[in-house]
Amino acid sequence: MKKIILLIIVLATPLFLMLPSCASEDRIKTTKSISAGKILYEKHCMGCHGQKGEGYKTLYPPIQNSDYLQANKKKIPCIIKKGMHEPIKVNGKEYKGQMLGFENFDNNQISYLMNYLYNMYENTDTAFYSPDFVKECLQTCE
Amino acid sequence: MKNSWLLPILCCLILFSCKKPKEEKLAFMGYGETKTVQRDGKEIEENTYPSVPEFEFTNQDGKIINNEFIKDKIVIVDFFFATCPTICPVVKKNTMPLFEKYKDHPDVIFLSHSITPLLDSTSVLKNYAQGLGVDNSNWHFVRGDIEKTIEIANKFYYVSVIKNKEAPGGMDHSGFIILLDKNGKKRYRGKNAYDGQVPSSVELLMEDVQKLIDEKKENKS
Repeated sequence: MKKIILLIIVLATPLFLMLPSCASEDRIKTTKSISAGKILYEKHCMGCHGQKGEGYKTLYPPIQNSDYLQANKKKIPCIIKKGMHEPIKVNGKEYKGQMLGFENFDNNQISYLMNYLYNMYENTDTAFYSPDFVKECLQTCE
Repeated sequence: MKNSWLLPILCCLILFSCKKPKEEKLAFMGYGETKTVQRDGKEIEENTYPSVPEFEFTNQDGKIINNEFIKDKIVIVDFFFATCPTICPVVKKNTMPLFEKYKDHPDVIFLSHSITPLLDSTSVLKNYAQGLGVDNSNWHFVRGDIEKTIEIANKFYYVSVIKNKEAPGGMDHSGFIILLDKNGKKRYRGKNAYDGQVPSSVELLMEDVQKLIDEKKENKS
């Protein structure tokens, strides 16, 4: 009897080990997207918005803890793609600088970047911004 | 007390050893030479290094900035554009401590040339200046004819500014900062130009701006 129990334990252990990895497949997808977004951020955005998305004076708005980012999720793909050409208010401060759009970015890249922006440092957003979400948002750009 | 004369000599020696050695002057950039010539019975240094050529641009307030405007000033020069996502923000952030130190100095001017004048209208430059917190008139963000900007950047300042359709804003450029003395001549410490992307290089620039201020005072006295 003892041998059978032992056998069950031995056989079942790998199954238990595999379970969590199966359950977090979505999480893996998000993590991969965030990592790819970080690389894009560091190459194209960090110069202005800062290493931790802290922004700079009233020239470059912050991304970390930004009320604008939280309130305008559907606008973000348009801003990345088409740029920012009018003043915006972030956390009570007005920013009048301009930003060029990254027209060469495809929906995948914008999706990576969004997942990073919403998860960088103190931003914690569990939602996953898929390329399809990006595509949908881009259709509404002004 | 045979050696009573020793004490005054020792004192003199100590005094002279304390005298600050004369600091080396900053080098001139470009092709030319410095000669000591006699004029009106005085020995003066004359040099043939190039001075800033004729230019005329307008700043964020629509004011004309030209050779006359920077006459007798120490000028800190760079090239940028308001929507630049890569080099310029780093250069501007690194330059800020330098600006904070000399923003009210009557002999120092900051001059940033826009390399995308079509995008950077006077109002865009004004917003840019305000965004950086530049609220006095010592830092001039100027725009003008793009060909003239490219020419002065490449031919005089040796800061590479090149049109490139692939680059953001359609322009490639370097983040070097150039220091002009009161005669409009390029000065540097030797070996390296000031790289605005490297904070330690901007610190050297800060020391060297002070050297030029002291040099100007010496020449006046």
